[in-house]
Amino acid sequence: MVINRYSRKDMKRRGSKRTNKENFCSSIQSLPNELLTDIVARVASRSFKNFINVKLSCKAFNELANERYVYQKATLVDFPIAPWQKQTQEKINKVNSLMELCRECGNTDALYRKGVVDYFKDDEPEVAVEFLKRAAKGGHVGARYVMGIIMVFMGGEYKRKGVMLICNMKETERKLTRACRKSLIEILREIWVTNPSVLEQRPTGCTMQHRRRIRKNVWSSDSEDEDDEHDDFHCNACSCDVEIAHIWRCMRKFYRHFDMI
Amino acid sequence: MITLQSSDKDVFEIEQSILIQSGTIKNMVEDDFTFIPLPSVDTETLIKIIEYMKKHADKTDSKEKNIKEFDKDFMKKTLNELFALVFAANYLHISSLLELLYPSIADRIKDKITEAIRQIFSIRCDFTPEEERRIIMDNKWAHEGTEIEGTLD
Repeated sequence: MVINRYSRKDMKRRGSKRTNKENFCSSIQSLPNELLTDIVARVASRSFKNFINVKLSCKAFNELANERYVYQKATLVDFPIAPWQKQTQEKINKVNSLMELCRECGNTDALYRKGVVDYFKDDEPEVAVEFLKRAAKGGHVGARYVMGIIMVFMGGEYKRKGVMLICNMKETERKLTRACRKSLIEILREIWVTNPSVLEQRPTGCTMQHRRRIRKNVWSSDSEDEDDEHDDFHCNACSCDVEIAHIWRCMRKFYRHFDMI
Repeated sequence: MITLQSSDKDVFEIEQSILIQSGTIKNMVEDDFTFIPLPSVDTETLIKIIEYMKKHADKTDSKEKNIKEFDKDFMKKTLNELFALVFAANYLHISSLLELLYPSIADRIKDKITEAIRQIFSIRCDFTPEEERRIIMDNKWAHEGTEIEGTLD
């Protein structure tokens, strides 16, 4: 039967009715493993609890759920940054093992989280930077942003590169950059920042002392949630300085403590 | 024009410009094939695939909203239909369709308890009671302090 112009109404259903669940291609078990792994990975990337429930459904899924690719895609939003209060040591250990497994499988979120926490806590910061680099390479935008911020604090040639990175991000993806800043601040709120390189001095990029230019009908405030999406910046360095100001404000409490040591 | 033949031996003639969204078909067209048998894709599924590719062939800015609406409606299918589409889209290398299908399937089992997942996917539990208990105990920590929806909706 030849159909020249495809028309759904003209088509009549042919062959047997596909009501039997064991028909070829009509049940999940007929899908090849690589497709099933993709589905399980997508489920894992929505919610870790869903992922566990899928593992429990049958042996085949349990095995698929152990594939490296699945841990690479798993979402970790279900797990807070710092151990919660009243958590058993056993649970804390389990979460840490899971995070380590995810990092080994290249989970960019796991790499990002560990990188940020360890760097700002001054816990093997060189290793932390490597985690962040890997996450950024794997496409994690938040990691790219944090690398920019860290480079600004490092000073010298790194600072110049950091300023360009942050400014470029703000120019091309302002809303996304703001989300990255919020994500970083959320993590910083959960930990005790002790890295001297981010506490000793607030770096400034702009040497021209430009005044911040704000459009007239936008309400300005000094809160950490200030929306700078409507601001124009005189130069790249000003744009970056605004980001540093937000993060510096968040770390002020640690700075005071550091000052007293 | 290219002729596609489904596993049920139904034949469709479609413009080449629409079909090149499929990596598999594109390769065969470049090798000068004009008749392409698809023994892994039945008529019902092939109709849907063609419908998808026709809609996505014209990706101008004005059509973008229409395409998004179409995609949303297109995913309103039974799970078995979605699995058949996943299989076909993978075989035909239509990555945009796969990227649409995976989250739709994942959404169906979002926040469902294990028994509900088994029913939705029509799979039988082949764990012994001890094995099941052990997996639950090993992973109990992930569920602590949370509620999981027990319905099948």
